[in-house]
Amino acid sequence: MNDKEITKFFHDNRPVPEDPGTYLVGLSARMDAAEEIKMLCEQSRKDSRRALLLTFILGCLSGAFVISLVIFCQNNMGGAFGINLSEVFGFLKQFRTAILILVPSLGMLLGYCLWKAYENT
Amino acid sequence: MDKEQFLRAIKDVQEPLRRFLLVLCRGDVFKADDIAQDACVKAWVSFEKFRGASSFSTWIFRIAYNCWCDRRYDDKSGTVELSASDSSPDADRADRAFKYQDLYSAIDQLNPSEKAAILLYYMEDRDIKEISTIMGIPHGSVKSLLSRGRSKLRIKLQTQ
Repeated sequence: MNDKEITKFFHDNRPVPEDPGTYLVGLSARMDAAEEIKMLCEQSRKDSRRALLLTFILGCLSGAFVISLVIFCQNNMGGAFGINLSEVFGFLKQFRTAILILVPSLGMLLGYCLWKAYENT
Repeated sequence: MDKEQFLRAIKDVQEPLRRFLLVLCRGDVFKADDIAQDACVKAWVSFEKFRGASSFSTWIFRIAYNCWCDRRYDDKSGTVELSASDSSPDADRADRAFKYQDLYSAIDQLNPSEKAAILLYYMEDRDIKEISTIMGIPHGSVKSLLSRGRSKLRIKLQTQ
């Protein structure tokens, strides 16, 4: 049996799918449902992106607040407007552990947010 | 591409696509149509990923083939799914199976990959390159699948 005969066998026995109209109607309904699900997913993705951005901003703001608190408290204690760096650094030494925790935490938060933002684009 | 254009494009390929899946599903019309619709919906949802490296028809066939492979894996792993075919009148199914019994008995002895390659090559007149794209395997593998399938088919068809 050669290739031509095999081809002929398959062509002669080609089944004919029934009712393309019903198939297309069913497909159209499924596409609508899929579209709706896709829109919902997009919406939830946008929401989570917004929440992540908000978390990032809040993290930065709270970090900046703590740092400025540390700096300006020392400044006020000195009673002058200028910042005496040696005093500030001397004062900051007391909070070494807090700063060591805060800075990497903010860094990690920033990294996480950027990674999430990149993943969602 | 909007929905109407997509449906028009599907209208052109639905017959060969459903026929291919129908034979792969051994005449189970409901299962074949379900997989075909599933594939078309997946194509519609991820249409922006279609870069035109192959024809639209080849792309849809590739998605459908992957859907069929996934479904086969689900069936094997014992996922119980109450499909519409369970409610199909037995007489209709038997009639359809009887009508094409020569075809089904000929391809029954082939393994799934050989079956897909043989159907694409002989029934859908696809070339090696297209089959390779659809099945996601190298040209050489397609050729060996066809060669093995052909040998098994020859023996079977000569005895029929």
